[in-house]
Amino acid sequence: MRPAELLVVYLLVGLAVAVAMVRAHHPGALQAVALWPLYLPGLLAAVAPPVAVPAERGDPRVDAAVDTLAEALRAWEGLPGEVDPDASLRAARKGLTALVRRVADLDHLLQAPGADLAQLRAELATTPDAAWPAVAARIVSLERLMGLRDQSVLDLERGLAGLADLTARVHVARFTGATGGDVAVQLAALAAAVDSAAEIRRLGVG
Amino acid sequence: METHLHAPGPVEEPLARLLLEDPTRLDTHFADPGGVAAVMPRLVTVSVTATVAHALALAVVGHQLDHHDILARTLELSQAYGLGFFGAQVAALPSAWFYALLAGIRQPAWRVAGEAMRAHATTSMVLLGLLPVWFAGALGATWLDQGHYLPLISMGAGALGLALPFLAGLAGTRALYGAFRRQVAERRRDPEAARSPAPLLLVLAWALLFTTMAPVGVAHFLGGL
Repeated sequence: MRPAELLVVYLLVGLAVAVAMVRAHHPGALQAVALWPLYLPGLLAAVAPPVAVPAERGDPRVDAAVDTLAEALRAWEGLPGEVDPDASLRAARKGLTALVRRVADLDHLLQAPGADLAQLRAELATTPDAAWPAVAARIVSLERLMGLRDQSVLDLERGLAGLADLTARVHVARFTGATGGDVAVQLAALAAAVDSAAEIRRLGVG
Repeated sequence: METHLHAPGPVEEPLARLLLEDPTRLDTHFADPGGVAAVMPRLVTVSVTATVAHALALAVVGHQLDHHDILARTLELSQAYGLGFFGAQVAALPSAWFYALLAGIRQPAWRVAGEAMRAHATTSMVLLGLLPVWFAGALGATWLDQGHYLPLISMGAGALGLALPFLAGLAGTRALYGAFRRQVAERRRDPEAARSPAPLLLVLAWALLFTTMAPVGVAHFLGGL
């Protein structure tokens, strides 16, 4: 395609974007004819339909916590316009589910044959010297896994408590008529987080 | 930091204040697509104005040396700088989104476009401030050159004029870094994240990418006209 043809195609797309902006009552339609790559993301964000929360179900505690928050957000008429509740709820469910899965995976590992700490310690006492370092290393690894499992349980409890606290603050904002700026910030952070599990854990830290 | 809870209406505040004096006020407009859409035309207008003013200043100074048509030269330089910078900006947008992801925040595309335009507008504002100083100095240098006293000075002044947008771009890079760091601090709410050098390194990488592409674009469009 020659540069002139490319320019014509570019301007035609710009014209289409400008028309869409006029219909959506966005300012800057004239500039958009030439600079539509800068205006297009904002236009698409404005006209995109809301994405429904997926109906997948998992852990009952996670479902209950997320459903309670969803109900609170639905009832809050003063929900800040910039908050995307669907994205926040999706992130909350994803983060908590990740933590539940982590605990389940670690439990599965710790219940496997050969993962009995007491048995390994007894075995250590009777193991020949040549094999002693290997058995000792297994005990250390197992203890680490148990520690990770305990930490993961704590993180999950923290996350659930944090979500419950966020739900309570939504109710407070709803009934007091407060603007709920801190709630909006936390919901936005949830929606924007790359690592939902870390973000949900942070909710419970305070 | 208080969050603007409702989509802002028309942006009434002076752009210089929003870009240079208190950029955190612009953050509230950038919190949702409507706010970005409201402020974008003004950012584009100041960028285009600075590009044309810069081109006109270069053309007038250059006219003292080779007596070319000022209007034609202004148009050529406006197109070259405008297309070169705009092309580099659009090409670097995906990188900016990716770098934000590396820093742990998911930035929507409309926010990336808004921040890139904020950096460009800040650069333009600083350029408009530097132009009169350069213009006066360059005119003096070309007058000296016509006397064949110090031709190197007029050549240096000319080169400085061509590079002026890139020098002003340091302010734009700083604005982008500030916006990026505020987002990381706000979204992650983690003292470690606030101290992390990741935003600085990533903005420097993005600035290097832009600074590599923009002169190539400008030279290409200047050579092709």
